[in-house]
Amino acid sequence: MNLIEARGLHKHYGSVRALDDFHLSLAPGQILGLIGPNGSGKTTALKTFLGLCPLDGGEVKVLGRNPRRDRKGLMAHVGYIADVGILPRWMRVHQLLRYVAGVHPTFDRQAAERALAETEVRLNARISGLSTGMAVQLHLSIIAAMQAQLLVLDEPTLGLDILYRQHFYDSLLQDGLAAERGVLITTHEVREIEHLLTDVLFIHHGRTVLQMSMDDLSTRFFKVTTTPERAGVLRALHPLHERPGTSEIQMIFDGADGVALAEAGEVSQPTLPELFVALVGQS
Amino acid sequence: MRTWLTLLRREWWEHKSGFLWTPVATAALVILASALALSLVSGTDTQFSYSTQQQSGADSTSDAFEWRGSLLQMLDFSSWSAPVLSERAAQFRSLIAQPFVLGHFLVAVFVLLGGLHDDRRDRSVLFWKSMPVSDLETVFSKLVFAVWVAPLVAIAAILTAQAGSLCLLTLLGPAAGVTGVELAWQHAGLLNGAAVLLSGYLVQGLWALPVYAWLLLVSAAVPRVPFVWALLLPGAGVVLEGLFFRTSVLSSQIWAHLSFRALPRPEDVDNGAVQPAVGFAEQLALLGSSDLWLGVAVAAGLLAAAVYFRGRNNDL
Repeated sequence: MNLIEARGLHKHYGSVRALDDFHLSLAPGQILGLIGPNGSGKTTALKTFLGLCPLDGGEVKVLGRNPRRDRKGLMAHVGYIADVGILPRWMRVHQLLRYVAGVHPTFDRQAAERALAETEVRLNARISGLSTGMAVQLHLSIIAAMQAQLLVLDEPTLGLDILYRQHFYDSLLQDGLAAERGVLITTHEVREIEHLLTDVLFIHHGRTVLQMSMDDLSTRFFKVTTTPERAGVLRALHPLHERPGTSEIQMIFDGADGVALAEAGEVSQPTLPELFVALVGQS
Repeated sequence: MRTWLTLLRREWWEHKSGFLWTPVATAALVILASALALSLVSGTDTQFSYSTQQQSGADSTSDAFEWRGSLLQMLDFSSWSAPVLSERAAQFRSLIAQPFVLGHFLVAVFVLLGGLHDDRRDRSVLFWKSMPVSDLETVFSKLVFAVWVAPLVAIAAILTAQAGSLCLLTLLGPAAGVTGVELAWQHAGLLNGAAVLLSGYLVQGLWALPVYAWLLLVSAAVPRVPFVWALLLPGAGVVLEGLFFRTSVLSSQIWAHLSFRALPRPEDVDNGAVQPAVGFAEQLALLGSSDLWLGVAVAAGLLAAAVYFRGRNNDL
């Protein structure tokens, strides 16, 4: 069974279409990156999965449940981290742990305290007094101690300095947080997460442009770098997108014959941002 | 059950400063004021006199009074009859309770107005909603804590202030000529008074439920300045009703449900009633009134709307 199954989602705020026929599926073990520019509907999509806002159309099942009708039941199995500022600032760390232990059926408070003992986060500290990096560590150790089947991470490293960003993703993988679960992650710093994704979904104007595994992506899409003189040969092979330059030209191909491409230029893997631009056109 | 206790504990942690320190500070002030008053009126020689004349129909009564000596000597407990002692004790108890009742109400108003709004402003609502707690549980835990749990602290503080004042009287009184202090203790009825407060807050919570529910609804629904909305909308309703129907049902209902009907209040000294105004019987009568249950029905609608908005509104 898929952890998330979303079909034909529609959501508008006034005349703005935040989601417009959006599709997504997430299976256990997948780390799916939701990639799109600001305002493309990423956060709205995540909020509908968590039951935080009602849909105007379409159907979504998360862990087999309707998230709108059963947010409480759902959240016993979902870990959610938005950008670093959402922990209640007035609370003390030990109060937060007691609270989660009190409302969450599978939260292991000792495990969270053990994890925190390795950090500089003191149990008696007020959350408002923690640095952004420490707050993230706190939130991560809570999520790690609650055996969620699904992790939803919305711009989890926003506001973190560069050292902590890398640390965040490292500990996400090290603690085995990602394994055996499903992870859905959005970020505008695509480069940071590219290497750890198993799957990717491009979203543009609230619409699913493409959802595919990284493996399929690497056998289907190619980037060819060539000179202006040889560009004509490549253009005959119908590139998705062409990025002109004075000395060299880059083209992205979808499902073309690799041998033919190699004869006309240097073939490599497009980065996710390059692929995104190729698929949605210049924007 | 575990979730409920946790949610109530959460409220306690967040609003300890309001619901604990307000009554503690009030109790300290009341005891200080008692000490000050007692030391002012003891020892010094005071003299005063007054006379009144009342005309009612053909009957005319006059009353003259003259005093010379320590004011505290007026507290001549040994010369008072048991009913008078009980009545004055009830007066004393409810007089002391007043600042606490008002203090709790004001803190509750601000806590409820912020309860479903402040976490949207600082975005921690996203954390609370990422926990397995329903919107209904969230709204009701805030209501139950502010309306029925927090008064327990106020009642404890009232009891402390009453006992503290009596202790001061016991310490300072006899030297200033007060007689029969032990009688004052005997008839003080502090525990009975606390029981009346306990049941009083139970009933008062139901009586004022439309007010509290309204505050929660505004807190959940409006994007900013809930305090202004909470006042403005009913105000507009009152004005419109006056303009179009030339009636004032809304305003009289609002004032009625804002009053502390189920809690002891000091009786107007002049009309000389023997019983305190509100006791168990009066609370039971209020509990049986259709006015109270009509208000509860209105509150249920307001609370349902608050839960609805809590489910839709996230960060501002």
